Amino acid sequence: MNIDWLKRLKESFPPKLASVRSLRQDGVLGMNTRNHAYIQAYNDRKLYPIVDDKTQTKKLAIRHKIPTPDLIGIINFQHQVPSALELLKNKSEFVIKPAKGSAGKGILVISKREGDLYFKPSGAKVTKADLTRHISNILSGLYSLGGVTDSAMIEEIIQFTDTFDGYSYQGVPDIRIIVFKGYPVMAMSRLSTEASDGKANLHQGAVGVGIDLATGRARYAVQFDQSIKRHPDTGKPFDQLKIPLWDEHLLIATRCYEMAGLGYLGADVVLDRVRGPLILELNARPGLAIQTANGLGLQSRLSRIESLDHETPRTPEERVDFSKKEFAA
Amino acid sequence: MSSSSSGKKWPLYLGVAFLVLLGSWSIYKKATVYGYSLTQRAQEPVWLVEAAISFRADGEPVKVSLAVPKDSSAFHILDEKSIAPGYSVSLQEQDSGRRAIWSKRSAEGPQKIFYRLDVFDAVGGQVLLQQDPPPTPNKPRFEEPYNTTALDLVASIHERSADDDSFASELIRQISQYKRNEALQTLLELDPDLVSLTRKLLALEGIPSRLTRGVSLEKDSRLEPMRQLIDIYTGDAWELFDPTTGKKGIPSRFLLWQRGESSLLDVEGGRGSKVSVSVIQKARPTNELILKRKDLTESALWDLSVYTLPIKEQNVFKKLFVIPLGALIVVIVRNLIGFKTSGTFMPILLALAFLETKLLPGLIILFVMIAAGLGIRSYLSKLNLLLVPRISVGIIVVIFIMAAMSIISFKMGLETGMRVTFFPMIIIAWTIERMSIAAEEQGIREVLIQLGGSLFVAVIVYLTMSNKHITHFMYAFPEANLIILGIILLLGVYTGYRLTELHRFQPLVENTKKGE
Repeated sequence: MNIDWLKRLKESFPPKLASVRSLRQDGVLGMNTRNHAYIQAYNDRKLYPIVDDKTQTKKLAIRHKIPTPDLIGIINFQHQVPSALELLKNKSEFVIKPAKGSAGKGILVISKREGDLYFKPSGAKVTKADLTRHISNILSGLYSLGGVTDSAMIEEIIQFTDTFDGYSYQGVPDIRIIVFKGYPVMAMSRLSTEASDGKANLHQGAVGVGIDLATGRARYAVQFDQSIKRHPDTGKPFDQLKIPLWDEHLLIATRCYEMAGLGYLGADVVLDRVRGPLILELNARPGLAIQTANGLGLQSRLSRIESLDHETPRTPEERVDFSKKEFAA
Repeated sequence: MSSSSSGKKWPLYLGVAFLVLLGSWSIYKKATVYGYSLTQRAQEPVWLVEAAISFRADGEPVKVSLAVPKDSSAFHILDEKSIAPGYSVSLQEQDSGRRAIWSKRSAEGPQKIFYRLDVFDAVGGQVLLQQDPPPTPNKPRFEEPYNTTALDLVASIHERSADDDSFASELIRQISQYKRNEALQTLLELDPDLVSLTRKLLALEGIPSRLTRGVSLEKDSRLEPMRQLIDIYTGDAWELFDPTTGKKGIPSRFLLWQRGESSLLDVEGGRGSKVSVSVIQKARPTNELILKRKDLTESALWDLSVYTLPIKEQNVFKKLFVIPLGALIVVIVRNLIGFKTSGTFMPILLALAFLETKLLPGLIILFVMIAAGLGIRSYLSKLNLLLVPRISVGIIVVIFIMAAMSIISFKMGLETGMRVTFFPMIIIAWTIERMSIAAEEQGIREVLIQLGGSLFVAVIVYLTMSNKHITHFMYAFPEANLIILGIILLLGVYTGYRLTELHRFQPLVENTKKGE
């Protein structure tokens, strides 16, 4: 892996630069514009806790009847840690997450249990002591931004579909949908690879797949910023990838606008075999990699939405229909 | 979108324009009107004049009175102080001039008192000597046979001169060459003091004169007696003559110490008193002196200048005033270039530490500290400590590493190693913590990239903050920070691409071109 990295470094030197004009022509959204003209302009800072604290997101989603993974319990204080084990007495599959974690840090998935011994999906053993220590670490803020004290959230495990079989090295990917002023504008999925060590991080070599808003089909895929047609590990072609229940994905993501009130929002949706699409988490500062995954700039779509008449309210269904027509690949 | 947000931006642009204009105007005014030096550390000479008084005390109350100079148009006093342990000191304005007076309840044995004066702008020759005509002096009488010699000498000079002025000039000329003058040689047997003899001869002619003492600043000197000149009233004005050179007028770079009949030094309760003077020329920054020029201190601008603060506080502000420049660099690196740094302003804190340690030793110290910290931290992670105790342990470990480095480098005779304490230990402890977590989760490579980025920025900030021209400029013109503030405000609303984005989205642009 080190040699790979050296090779990539050599290839990327001297760095290739695009002209400002060509970026502008393609409507690429830059970090400064995203921060200034979208996040600061459309996301009220006092709404951030709703998305930065997953327990709040969860409670709000339940109130708005937006499907999310079922909650088993929330641990707020160290003295409650023993009661967590009580909660998990009859569970053999569950997920423990830090409420204020970011980038998937501190998420522990247990998929199997044999008596007092738990197992991760990878087969690694987890003892009861490991479990309580993990919860303690979460509470002390190990995984939260700035190390502030945190809560641990225990959720039901997601029953994954086989849609992504052959498209993911490990775990099952979620779908990121950017919702601007209540309109879905772009979608992508991040697929882990052997190179990314099972992580869904594009920098580390995960595949970014742009998804057509109209059909839910993969329309474009990149690894290390380069366009690819097949999954690098399995060779499975991306043109066969189509997300089932796509309209429902778009709809629950769109309804998060009413729920969270954020004008510029990233919704992470995951497909459960039994329950359908579920909202995994929301993000008030969604990244720009979605443009690379789609091979498309966001700017023109955002401007199109800004130009709409927002005086007459439209239902989430109407907005989804609009985006599907307007932003079809 | 552009119309709505630019509509909101105009008050900001107005504010920025105001800040930049105010800053530039103030810099311009200080540089042109008040002569503040813009670029280099311009320096001007300052003379440290020290009068050393020595005497033997009798074991009784002691009172020492020394005539001291006054601020005049010919020079300015930058600072004056006395070093006289056990003595109380006061400065008094008297009719005869300014005097410094030291007193002590009782003293015995040899005594030393120092009076130090820092003067600058010693231009010389512009002291106003005019005063009301003095009374004609009483004619002195010498004992014979000296009286005849004196009268003959005065008569012969009188013969050769037209008026008092030419009489004085001729007398002084002869005095300055007394070794070739028999009459003078004879008279000196009676009164060996050349100056007092000259004055007696002038009195014989009915010309008023007075004694003037001073110090030549032409070159450095050590423990020399004060120079004595003679002020002669030549009919309508006072003229200064130097009896040793015979020259008329104030010598160049001459500090007039005292003028008039009163004594230079009076010592009560002591014997064998002596005063000698040392002169050392030193260079001081121009901008420090500007303030002391009297005519400027009335300007309101000066009341707000940092130069009015005590030296110790000035040194604090010397550092503080370059920090905005560091902040500007961080903003540029992050928002225009798009580099990641670990901890937004950590590069500035590191740069401040480098200022104390110098760059290379600082980098080495930092690397050793972080490497040792990471090593110990990797052991600690096996103990599964909670976050706050773990950071606290980290701080203690960092302190121990600092102490160890100080001690080892001290034993090895490396002084720079002892400067390790200038690194902000809490920042270092957090850096080690974050790096070790990042190393576990994202790999060593990511850690090195972040650390490299931070160090790169820290070095740039260091090079900026350690540049003599830049620090001088920022210190002399703190209002430049208004301009920096304006620039940072502008960058705060910059919505263009970052340099790294031109690279990041290059494949995207390339692919759309291929698609067409």
